[in-house]
Amino acid sequence: MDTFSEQVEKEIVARGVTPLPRWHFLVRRSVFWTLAVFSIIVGTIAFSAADYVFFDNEGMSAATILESPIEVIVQTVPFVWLIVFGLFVASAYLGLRKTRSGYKYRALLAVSGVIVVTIALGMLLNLFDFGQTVHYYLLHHTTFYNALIHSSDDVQVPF
Amino acid sequence: MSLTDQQAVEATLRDRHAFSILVERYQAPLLRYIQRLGTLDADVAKDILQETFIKVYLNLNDYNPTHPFSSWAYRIAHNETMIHFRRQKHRPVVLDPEQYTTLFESIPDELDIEKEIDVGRTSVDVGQAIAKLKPVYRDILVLRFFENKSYDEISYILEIPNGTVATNLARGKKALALELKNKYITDI
Repeated sequence: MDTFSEQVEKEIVARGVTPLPRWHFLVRRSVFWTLAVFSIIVGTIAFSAADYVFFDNEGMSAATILESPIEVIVQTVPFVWLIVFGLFVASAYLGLRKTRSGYKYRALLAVSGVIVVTIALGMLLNLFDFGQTVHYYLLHHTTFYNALIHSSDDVQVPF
Repeated sequence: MSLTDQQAVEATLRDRHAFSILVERYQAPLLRYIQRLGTLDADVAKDILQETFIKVYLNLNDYNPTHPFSSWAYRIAHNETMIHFRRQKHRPVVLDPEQYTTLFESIPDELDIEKEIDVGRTSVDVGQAIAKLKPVYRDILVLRFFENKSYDEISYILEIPNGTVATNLARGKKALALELKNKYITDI
């Protein structure tokens, strides 16, 4: 009767199993790192645009802000960019979680880390007016962006 | 001279027959571990063990020597067992008391409940108490007290942060102590 190790070896032969090549694992790990880095880059762009749209609000007078601050906030918060930012923060976390040592970090710590890095990079880019460039590029070269970015302009806050 | 695990992995990558060294070295502890996770049927446990070794062989080039080979094999065995439970859509909660003798002996030191449960405590009680715990606590207690794994190894095997290992281990011990105290109070 076969020993257990002989049974395992027979099964390996029967199924034609061979060790997967080293490059297979390198590619797999690279995919997750690429996803994480790409997501952080897109999240950074989203934050820099959101930062620009929210704080460099043209035509918003101090009187309007004082009169109805909540309405002003609701109308000026760039929800589209914040949604994009949130999605790519989540995607960056998932990418990092799947890397070789990603399991070592608590979800809250990893997500906070991604948010801090993304916001810091976004603010850094805005020192060079990057958010403004992205905002006006999309305004002039796409049709959907104008509608999306101004989708909350007519929102009336019921209080 | 016997080969180290790392040498055996390298030998297997050159010659498939060398894999028997690793299989023979780890088949007994991995089989016990699979059974302690709740696989009661010996044939099913052996099937899971075979799948574990096939996965180990398939992924040999992914083995990272910065961690012990045994931890890597335990991680694969754990994942294969969980895949089996998911396919069955059922994880047994009635466990084999025979598996709990080790923990039964170490309970007074580990759980600090010696005085309260000293009378009438048996390995069957321990087995029943462990069976009532959430799987997340049960898995950690099994690795810590039966397999004698360090926090780092448990973190690697279960793919959870070290802090979570410490938290869940403390909660698991507390929950087990509570179960045993309740059992004792109910029985007397």
